[in-house]
Amino acid sequence: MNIKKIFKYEPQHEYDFNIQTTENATVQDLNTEKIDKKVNTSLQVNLEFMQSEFNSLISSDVIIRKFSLICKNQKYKAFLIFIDGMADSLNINHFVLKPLMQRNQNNTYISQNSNPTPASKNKKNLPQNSTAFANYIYNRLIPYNNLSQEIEFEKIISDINSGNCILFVDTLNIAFDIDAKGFKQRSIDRPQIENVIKGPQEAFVENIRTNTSLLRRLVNNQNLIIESVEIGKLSKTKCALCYLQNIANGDLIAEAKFRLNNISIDSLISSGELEQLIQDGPSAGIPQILSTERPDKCVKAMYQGRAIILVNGNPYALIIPSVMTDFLASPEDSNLVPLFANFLKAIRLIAFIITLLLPGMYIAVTNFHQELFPTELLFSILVARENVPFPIIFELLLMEVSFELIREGGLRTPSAIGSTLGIVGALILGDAAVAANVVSPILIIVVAITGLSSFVIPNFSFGFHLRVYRFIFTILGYICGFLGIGIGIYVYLATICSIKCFGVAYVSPISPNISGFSLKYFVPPFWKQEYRNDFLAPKKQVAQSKYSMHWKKNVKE
Amino acid sequence: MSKNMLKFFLIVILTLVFMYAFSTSYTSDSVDNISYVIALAVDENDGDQNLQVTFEFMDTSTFSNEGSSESKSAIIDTINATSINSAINLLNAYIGKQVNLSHCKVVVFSDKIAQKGISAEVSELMNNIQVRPSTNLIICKGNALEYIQNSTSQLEKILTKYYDIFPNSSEYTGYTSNIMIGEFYNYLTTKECGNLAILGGLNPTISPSNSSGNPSNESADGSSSGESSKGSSEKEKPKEKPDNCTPISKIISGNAPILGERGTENIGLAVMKDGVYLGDLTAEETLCHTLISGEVNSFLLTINNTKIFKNYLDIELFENMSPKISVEIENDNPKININIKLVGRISGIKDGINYSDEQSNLDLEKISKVTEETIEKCITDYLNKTSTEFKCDIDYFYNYAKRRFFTVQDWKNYDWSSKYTNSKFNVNVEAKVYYSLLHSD
Amino acid sequence: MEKINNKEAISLTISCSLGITVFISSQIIASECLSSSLINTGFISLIAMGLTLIICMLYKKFIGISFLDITEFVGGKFLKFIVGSAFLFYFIFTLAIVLCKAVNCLQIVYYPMTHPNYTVLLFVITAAIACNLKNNGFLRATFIIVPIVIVAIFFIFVGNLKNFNYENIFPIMGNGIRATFFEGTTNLFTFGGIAYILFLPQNLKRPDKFMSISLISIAISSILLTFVTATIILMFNKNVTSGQLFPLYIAVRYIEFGTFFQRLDSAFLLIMNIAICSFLGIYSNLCLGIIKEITNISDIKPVSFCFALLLYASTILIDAKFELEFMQNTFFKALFFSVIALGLLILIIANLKKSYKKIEINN
Repeated sequence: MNIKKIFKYEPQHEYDFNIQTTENATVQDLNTEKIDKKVNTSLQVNLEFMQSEFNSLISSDVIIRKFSLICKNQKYKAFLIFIDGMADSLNINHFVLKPLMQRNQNNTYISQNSNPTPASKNKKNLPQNSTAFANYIYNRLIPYNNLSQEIEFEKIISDINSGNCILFVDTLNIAFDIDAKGFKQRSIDRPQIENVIKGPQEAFVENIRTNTSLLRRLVNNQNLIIESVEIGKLSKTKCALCYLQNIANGDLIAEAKFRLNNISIDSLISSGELEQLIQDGPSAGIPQILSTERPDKCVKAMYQGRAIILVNGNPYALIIPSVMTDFLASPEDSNLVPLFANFLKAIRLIAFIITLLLPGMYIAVTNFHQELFPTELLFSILVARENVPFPIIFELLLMEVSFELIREGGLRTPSAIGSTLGIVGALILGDAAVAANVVSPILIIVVAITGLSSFVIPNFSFGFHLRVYRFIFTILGYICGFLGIGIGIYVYLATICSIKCFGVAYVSPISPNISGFSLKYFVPPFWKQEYRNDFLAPKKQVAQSKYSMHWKKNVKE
Repeated sequence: MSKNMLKFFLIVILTLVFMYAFSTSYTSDSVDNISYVIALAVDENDGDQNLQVTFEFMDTSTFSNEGSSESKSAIIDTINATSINSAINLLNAYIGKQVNLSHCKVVVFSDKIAQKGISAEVSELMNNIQVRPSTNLIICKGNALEYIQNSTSQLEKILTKYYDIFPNSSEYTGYTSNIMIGEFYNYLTTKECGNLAILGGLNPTISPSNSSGNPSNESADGSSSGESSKGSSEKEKPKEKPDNCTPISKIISGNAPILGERGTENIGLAVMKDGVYLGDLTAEETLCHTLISGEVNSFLLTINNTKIFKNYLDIELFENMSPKISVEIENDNPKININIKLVGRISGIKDGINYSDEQSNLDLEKISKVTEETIEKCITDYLNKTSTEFKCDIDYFYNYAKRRFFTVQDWKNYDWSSKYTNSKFNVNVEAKVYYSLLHSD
Repeated sequence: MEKINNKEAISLTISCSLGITVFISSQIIASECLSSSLINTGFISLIAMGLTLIICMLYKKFIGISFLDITEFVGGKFLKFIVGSAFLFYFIFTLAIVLCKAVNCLQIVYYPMTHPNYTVLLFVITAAIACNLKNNGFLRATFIIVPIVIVAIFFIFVGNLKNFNYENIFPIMGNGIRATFFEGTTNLFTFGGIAYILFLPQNLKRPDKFMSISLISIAISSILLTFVTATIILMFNKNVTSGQLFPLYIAVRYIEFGTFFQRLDSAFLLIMNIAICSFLGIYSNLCLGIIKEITNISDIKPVSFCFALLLYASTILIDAKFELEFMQNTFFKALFFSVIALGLLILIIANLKKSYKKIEINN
């Protein structure tokens, strides 16, 4: 044992890394680079440009395959560029490289009309020759269904990033954009959050094309328009605006396109970010746009006259415009008989009120309005609170925060530990806390009912905002009882009423009550839903004839 | 500092300001700092302080699962003070928690203090924002403190349930009435009529009597009520169960032939005018009152007419519709017409005669007629008592008389309270009795 | 301001009258007219309907035009300023006195240890927030709140049925014909909605429906007034109606269903608090609209906080310096009749002027 070593001073090595921030970020810092270049006729120039853009010497997954292309029995230099893992290698091999590289009937056939003399040899006829050459390759040599000719590097680079394969040919000033996407993705699965018992069990996935295909399949109408929009200067995230052109209001669609096309950001990853970018204004946390993972819900919305926005890479679609009743509706409602559906809606409405107001009301009543309690209940509360050292507000906040901790913990833990967490949480919150006289049993009931009610809210964002707002009502109830609660209710109500989503009031159709044709919160039977919601101002107001069941009534329309 | 930061700070500051401003209110009103009175009793005090106010609190161990069987169900504190509010004030200092009357179920006044007048106390209670208008008002024959002490829950675990439920017996017996302080105060402020309160009393069979409640003073008129019961300081021996069966026409609280664990009874009503206790209504008279007011839904009538029946005949009567009352003014005096329709069924017959037998002397028509006559006589006697003895309108016929006048001034000029003593009553009872025994011999 | 639909306009007008009915006028009617209160209520309802009809007829030539613009047409900008200020004063006074009454009640019942200034401040902040919300949030909120308040009033009536003494409506003429029909006409001040109606046409989406909207809202207001007055008269005698608390609150204390539902007065106060906030929001926005018209300010939102301060000061002043009884019984009534008379006069002169000169007003 070396004693010197024990007492020897060794300086601490602290690894200190700091990012130097720039103060006063200006607009000029925004990435506004745009690639203005177009495809060159020289293959070498194109190759060098692509190598520099994609940093192919550093990025290992950028594949540049140089080869000689045979066309009209003549060889031309060419190269393919694609990203390994995003493009389908097999398809590229079979349907791009093979027909271009190997001699076959197509690439050796020479017709009388064609003049595939390379442009370099016949400079006079360069434009014509190169066009004919390009067309020949396009029409005869690449047996691929989704093929286009591109000139702008901006588009080319964007397509490579999304999984396409690009073919450059010497002497041509165009590139062939082959949609050879073949990246691995999640298959269509059941909805994770919006579960139903009787309805369809399909949900959106990350790939936008798969999602649009789901919509197409369900809509089954040629009037479904799926407009593609790219958002994000760097990420160029593909988004799709979907609507039925013969039903959706033209102004709504124009407004949606205007907002989507006028977003100046670097990148867009999720639909949640897009939601914040296109909503009308800050609404104090109240969700304005409905997001869903169910295609059937989207299709139903489109048939009402709404528009859907899909974001590539995110399985949640945005429905615009949305109103408050949409956040309290479940996809199950349309699958059930109206009596049961309205019963469930009533339950949800009660759950909404309980989630928002119960803790605040409890504390208001116990602090200011005890006469509201029946006498026996009041004495039970007093007995329960006899040994509790904390004031009611502290108890309540403690339990509410604990509940939120358990809820969040349950989301983050792996499923194997999740059940243990639930048991431990229940034990701590329930039994042990009461036995230790930390809280009173009645408060546990209040918190538990509030928590259960919050789970009844179908929409996650809406339920979240209720969870946050109930703390505000709790504090208001603590400060001044029902006066605070009343003022809170009014301000909350007025705030909700002041929200607009794409020109539609959030509390439609309750207010403004335009023509009475709208479906209110409680829905009638399906055969009575003759009109579309008037607040959407659809092109076609009538959704079904007055006597839709012709088999019952022999009525001519 | 950005606008959002400013807004945030403003909200925080305002929250703190309001917390401070309302803190005294919620500290004082918080459920932890309050003790709830379930019953209030007011007695006369001979000393300098005029009132002896008793507060009954609930022993909360009754509500806990660990409550021992020996725990008392109520805690009683008594304060001598000049008024109820000053008693509350003093009690707040004594018990440490703030006294709250919002769950007070009954207010009991002793007959002595009621004889001096309770309008000030009632007014004081009604102006207390905590007191519920549905609190029952009881005039106790004897000491109100003893009434509270002996008022224990017998069939219910919790005393407050007993206080909630006991006035409901008026609907099916008619021997008491659900009189609340709000209604009492409403009529107290009306000069044309008298007031009624629930008559409470101590059961003489079990309570060691410090009570001044002697069995009924039916012959005493209202003016001599001050001389009637004296505050007895002599303790009497606990009595055995009563030998004689007091007839219904004479039963009031304090002389009911009942042997039970609870030491209090609430039978009959106390008659008051301008807050001063005048006299009592017996069980039978109370029944007449509740019949006229329409409060009773069903009641039992025992007919003892030996000319027709050998023994008693019990008939259960139901009020078919609300009584029709009209008041006419004849020769400047009121003539009050009362029409009551009842439906009855025979519920018990003592000697087992099959009265459906044609040869028996009983037939339903006769029974109906006897019933009608009995009730008419009872009601007429009762009404005459109110007009001659009590000299105040305790059935609120003045409401019907007001129709005859055009303006409030005309009505005031008529002076109903003095004219009522000259009233004529025309009582018409229709009682249809049906046979409905389950079994017959 | 965004244009208002028919139903929303009706709910706004009802709300204007509701606040005054519940807190002030019902007590005054019951204490002045005694048993003839219901007759008086019916009588003033008829007068209110007639007055509304006259206003609507006078407005026929000025469909969709602002009242202050009509005033400007009559007497120029100076008259517009004077008339606008007069109405502004009336509305602020209405707000202040209703707020004063409500806050006094709350202080007595629930906040005895809290200075009423803080409660007033709370309400005033709410009014300021309501003014700052965009898209006329207060409008839609009122449309949702008013039916709840109406249901509450009906519930109070129905819940107290067993406590009613129907004979309280006799003697039929109460304090006499003079008190019922002549002095009782002053109770018309209940219908604060009539003053609001003067400022309604410019905000309506369909100005041609102005007459039906006005008449329906006044009719509903009268029905509510009848129910409130009936509840008070049938339940109480005279003495109770002259107390510090408004009688409808006292009536709620009597409601009980069994032993479980008792003392619902705090629940009633919760609804009333929301109704007061709604009342404040409507009148505040109206006042801001008037200020905007008379001062030509482009953006009125920043002024809302100054207005809130003014409202706060007015309420405190009334509470501290003046006798509330005098203010509500005499001054308030006089003010109401003054502004209505002024409004009618302006409209009549405008009609006459238009018919003589045949000049169209530009918006």
